Amino acid sequence: MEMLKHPVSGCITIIAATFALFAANTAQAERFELGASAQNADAVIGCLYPMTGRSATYGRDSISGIKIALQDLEAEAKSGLDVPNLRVIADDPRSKASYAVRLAQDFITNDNAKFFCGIVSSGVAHAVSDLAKNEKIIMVGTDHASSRLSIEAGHDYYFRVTNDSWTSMAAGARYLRDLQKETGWKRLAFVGPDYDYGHVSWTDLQLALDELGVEYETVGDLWPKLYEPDYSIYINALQSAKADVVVTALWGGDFIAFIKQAASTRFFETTRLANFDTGANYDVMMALGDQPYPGLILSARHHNNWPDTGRNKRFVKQFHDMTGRYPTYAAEGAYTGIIAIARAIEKAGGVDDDRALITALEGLQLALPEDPPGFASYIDPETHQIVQAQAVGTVVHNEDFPPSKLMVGNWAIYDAEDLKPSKEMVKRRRDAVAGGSEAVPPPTP
Amino acid sequence: MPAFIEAPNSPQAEEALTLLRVEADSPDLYGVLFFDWYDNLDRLVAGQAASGPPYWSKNGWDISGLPRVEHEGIEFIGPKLPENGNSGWILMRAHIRDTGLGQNTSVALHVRLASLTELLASAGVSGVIDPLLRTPGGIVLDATGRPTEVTGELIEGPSILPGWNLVMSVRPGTILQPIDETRFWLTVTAAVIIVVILAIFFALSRSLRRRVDTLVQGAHSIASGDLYYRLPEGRRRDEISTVAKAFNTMAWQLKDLIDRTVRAEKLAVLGQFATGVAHEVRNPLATMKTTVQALVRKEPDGERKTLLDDMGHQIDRLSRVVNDLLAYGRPGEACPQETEIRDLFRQSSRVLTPVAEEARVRFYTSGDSRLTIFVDPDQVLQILLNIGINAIQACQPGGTVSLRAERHNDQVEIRVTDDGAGIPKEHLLDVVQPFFTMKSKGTGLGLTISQQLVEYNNGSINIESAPQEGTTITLKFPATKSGASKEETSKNAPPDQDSDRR
Repeated sequence: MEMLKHPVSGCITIIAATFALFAANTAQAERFELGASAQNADAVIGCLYPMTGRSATYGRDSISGIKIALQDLEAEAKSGLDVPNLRVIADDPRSKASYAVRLAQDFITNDNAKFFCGIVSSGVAHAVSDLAKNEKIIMVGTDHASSRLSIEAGHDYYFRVTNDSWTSMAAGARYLRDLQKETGWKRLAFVGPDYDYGHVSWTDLQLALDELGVEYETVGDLWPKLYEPDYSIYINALQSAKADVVVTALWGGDFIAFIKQAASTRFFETTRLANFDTGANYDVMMALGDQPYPGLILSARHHNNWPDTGRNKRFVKQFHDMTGRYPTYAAEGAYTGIIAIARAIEKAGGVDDDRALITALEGLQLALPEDPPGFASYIDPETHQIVQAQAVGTVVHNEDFPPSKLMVGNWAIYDAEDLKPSKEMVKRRRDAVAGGSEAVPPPTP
Repeated sequence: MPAFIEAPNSPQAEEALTLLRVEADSPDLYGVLFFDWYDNLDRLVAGQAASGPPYWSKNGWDISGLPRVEHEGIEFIGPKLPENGNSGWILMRAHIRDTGLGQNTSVALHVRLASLTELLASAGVSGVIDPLLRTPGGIVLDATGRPTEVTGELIEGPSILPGWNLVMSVRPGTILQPIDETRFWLTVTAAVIIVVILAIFFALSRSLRRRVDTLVQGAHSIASGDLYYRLPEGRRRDEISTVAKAFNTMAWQLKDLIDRTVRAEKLAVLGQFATGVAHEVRNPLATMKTTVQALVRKEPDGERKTLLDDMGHQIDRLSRVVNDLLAYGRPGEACPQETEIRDLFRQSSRVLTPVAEEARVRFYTSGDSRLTIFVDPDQVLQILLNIGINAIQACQPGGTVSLRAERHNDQVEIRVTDDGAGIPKEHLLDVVQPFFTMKSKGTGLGLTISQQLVEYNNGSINIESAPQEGTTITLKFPATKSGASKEETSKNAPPDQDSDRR
């Protein structure tokens, strides 16, 4: 009877209880414990990666990236260097913010975690970032990419060590500017997942295009939900809009599903499809088979075939030797996260002083597999976002990384400093918002 | 729930917040919102799909102007249409009972508008029937949750909420359009095919006509007497080329037939004429010869005697001409028999060797001594003598004339070769014509008679010659079966075969 009288709150209670029980039963089964034992660890890092569903590949590869980082640190320790003894715990938040917050709280309570790391979905990352801020736990984001996390919602305890949506869209805007000189495209459409990352990516792209003075006409912005199985109505809408270029922020299995479904129509005959942040990921290359659909413009946060440096080749080989397959960009992100935490601890001289750790991370320079020759990534003290170069290209035949028959090539390289958001841009965006954090009463409109 | 609202920092509120987060984590929800009695947003729980107002910023959040309908105690607020890069949404709000503390609040699910409209997609027929959703504000939404302009016929569908109902946009043209397009393209294709066929037809017709015209022109040329006219046969192997080849063959055969006929008639006329003349001339000549001989015997004057001898020689020459004319006009019937080449060559040598020696020309015979041919031996001997004498006379002193016999399948080939003056190309066909001669003292009947005799003996004659290089006349006669084909050269020739005679 209570439920009949109060259907909304009744439903909430029942569903929440069911999900809570489900989460409690399954979370333990996905848990990974890597590195030092609890007794010997200098610091515990609690990581959250998906191990199920469309984004499971990202979690699996991230775990391998963490293992490679721990191996490298162990090798340094054996050679006599003073590196911290890290314990990494990883669990699966099942792409749910609620699970992620609960697991992160458990990391603090049960495992005495000093750092959070990982998280693929920006929506989930927002929730955990809020928790990190409240609990004063340093969070090192390795995968999610919404630039809102570091600009509008940035705080002292939040850092990110892979290219964010701003960096990718700044590179993409430059590519589109150059493409316009070549092809004269005018009509632009955007399709992104209907959550923080998708909307921020679209905002970032528009801002970057405006900064460059690119003239274009927006003919549509579409927002299928995350993990949407059927994109047919959105593909029809994009075709009806007669866009010259469609930029997408769909990622992982969503992006692959979109390409497959678009390929069954005449979409690629008339339209270029660009994905500047995640499109060149290795799982996408594999899914393309031997079909280099015309008009695909892709990039990702790490490429197995770019840059052609010893450091990158070594990382890819380490991953391949360990797993028998080639990595998605998630692996290099997770690797970077662990290395960044280790270097920060070394620099701060321990883990007891939060302020010292934050100071150590601010401006921390890291030579990473995705750095082109002559450049080392560094964390911008202003935004806590790592500053990195980015390469954008098109699909070419390349069987150097089987089973994929295609890789991205014809690279256009964009320098890291050019892709960094200007201080004015950061200030403008931060001034334009007024909070928005959950459970905090927003100002009355 | 009351604790969450009224005592935000209590443990109960924390537990409620956790449960609300779980609820808000659906991709179809942006979050769970709490409002006070005055519709002001009091608290919110963001789901993972949250973006834009009210989660990011106070700007752009206003529900006061949105349509509101109520159904079974739930208030539906919206839709808020997508704009400025933000998605559209509706609120499903329920009022929470007064907790006793005087607070009347409400809780709302912040629902993704597209999650509602996406359900329409399954009810449509792609491109023909588009299911749309009409909202309380009268705005019609498509399956992606965006306002759309309706151009076709609208069929009202069922109502899902007060003021919300489905409408079907029916575009029959979409069904007919492909058929119309197909019909149009079929018509165009048919027209193109007809044009192409006509073009090919005219091209072929013109080409065929041009080639047939050539045939007609050839026929006219032949008809007007140009028997040397030949059609270009080309490389193609089509019917016209076949006809052209057949036409050319016919022209060759026609010319050959006419040549033969003309020659036959010419021979017949000449034969009658020659026979008549010979009869009339021979007897007086005999009388003149006898008279001259008598006069010579009695003539004491040496000078006159010489003149009378010359007259006698001229009379002899006239007699030979008359004999030749008789031979030409009244050839004897051939009596073929097995004849040995060696006999023919021996008899020929007996006559020709002295002639050759006188002309200081080397003469010899060679070949297989055992060959036999089925011919009239007297006529063939006459042929060999005629041709042999011509050959010797064509040679300068020091020249060479040879007879050589070889067997080729069922025929024996006799070649009479000299290295004399040769015959100019333009005269090759004339040398067998009666009275054509290149010699100052010839009658012009020798080769003509020889050709006649060759034909009587079922043989053939062929003349090859080059000026200043010599002439080879090849005679072919049927071989007899007993003839062997053993090749013998002059070096090992048997004694009865003359060789290298002079």
